[in-house]
Amino acid sequence: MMKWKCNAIQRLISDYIDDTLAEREAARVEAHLRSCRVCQHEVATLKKTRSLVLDFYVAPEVSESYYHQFEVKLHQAIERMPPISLSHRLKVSIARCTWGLLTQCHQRFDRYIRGSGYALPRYALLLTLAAIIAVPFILKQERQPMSTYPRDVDNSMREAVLADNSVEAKLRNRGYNESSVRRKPPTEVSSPSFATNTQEVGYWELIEPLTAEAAKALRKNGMVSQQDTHTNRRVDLATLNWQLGAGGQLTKSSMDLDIGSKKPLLQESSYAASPLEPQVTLFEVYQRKRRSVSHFFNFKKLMDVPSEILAIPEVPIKL
Amino acid sequence: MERTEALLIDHLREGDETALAPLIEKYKRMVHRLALQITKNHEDANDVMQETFIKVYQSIHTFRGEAAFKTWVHRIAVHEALNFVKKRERRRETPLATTEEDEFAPEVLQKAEMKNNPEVQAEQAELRYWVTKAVNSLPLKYRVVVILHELEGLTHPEIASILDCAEGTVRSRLHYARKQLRTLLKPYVDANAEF
Repeated sequence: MMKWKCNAIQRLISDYIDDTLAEREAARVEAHLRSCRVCQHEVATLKKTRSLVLDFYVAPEVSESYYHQFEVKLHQAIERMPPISLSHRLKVSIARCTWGLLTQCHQRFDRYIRGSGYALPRYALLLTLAAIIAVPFILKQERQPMSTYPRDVDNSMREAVLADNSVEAKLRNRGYNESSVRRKPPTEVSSPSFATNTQEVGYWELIEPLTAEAAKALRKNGMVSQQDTHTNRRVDLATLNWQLGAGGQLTKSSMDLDIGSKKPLLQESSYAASPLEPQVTLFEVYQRKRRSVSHFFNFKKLMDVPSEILAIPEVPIKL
Repeated sequence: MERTEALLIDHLREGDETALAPLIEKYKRMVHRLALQITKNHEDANDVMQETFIKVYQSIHTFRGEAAFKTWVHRIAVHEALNFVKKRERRRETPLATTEEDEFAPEVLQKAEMKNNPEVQAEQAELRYWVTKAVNSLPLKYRVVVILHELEGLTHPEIASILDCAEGTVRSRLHYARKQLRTLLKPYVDANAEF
């Protein structure tokens, strides 16, 4: 009986030495120690050991010059580091939120689950259900091409602007017709694997032939003339410019939107020298402002584009 | 958490790199000490210290302020150091004594103290040597707990959160570590043990 009591007390001795025991337990230990010499010796020796460590352990120390060198190296290492991407931060935040939510669920519903046992399979089941619900959304999001603008806004915007011929006439009157627009030479095109200038002013030649679906979509939008459909290789530059200036940039992403294909045809940087670039920038700014609320409004309202955005500044064009 | 420290953390979170320097200044000794005590290798300790501060810089936005910043830094440092030790064990390398380590080795202290007061200090220098050696010879899981509790002054719950284990585990490890130390330091313990 005594031996058992000593064992129980000795488990508490370390906490007793640290003075972290509750009052009741500390009183119980003290009561036992008054009558047990073995436990008295145990406490005394452990206390002595602790005081030896506290008093005589030599913690490693190094010179200040060492720390100075270290700081220099650390700052160099930090400077060399790539910036932390927003997506990474987003991922971390989502993971933390999920973990926090799970912890809270565990704390709140633990009492309901604990009683019935098999907590782990239940949690596994809950997680599986959550995954089943979440996966389609994630996959759907991944399938969507990364667009500068929301899909619906872009489509409705393009359709409306294409229908408005007066704006196109306005553009042409200002000198932005197909004969006056000159592109960069082929060597300056950033990605010649996708598209290159044939030196034939007014046309871009696509290196990779359009798919049937893409050609259909482009014909529908008037971006490929009827006679070129058999080759599917020529796109009217004026139409492209038109798309570029009024409907937003004809980027890789917007092409994806247009033709519903994941294959990029033209790259954004190919249009860097476009004379219509100022409109794109202004337009982009306008749409960025609207983007945050775009999903909550009727997209048709976004057609109320301020006139200063559609107005074209006088950009000198080198012929 | 101190107000200035909280301010520095906020600035660092906003991307102000200059806020990192005062935090490094404050915690570098602690991190280095911890790293060296766990890895027992000066080069590894240096790497651990660097990795720790880089992680602090990179993950500062995940620090929510629920625990003390000091505990958070401790946590990163301990995990980094343990990872280094595990990697080293996987490679089956043994820690090497370096010249820097010799600077604070008990033998050196002993010589310095002998010069001042040889008769009185000799025993204490010997004690320092054996106590330091005893702590450093503990198994890693016990050594970490002893270092964090006895030398860094962290509480049981803090250690439990740093090591991702239960408080009871920390208590029992500390108890067994003390018992092992008592065995290792038996001559000194028995000489002066009094209740």
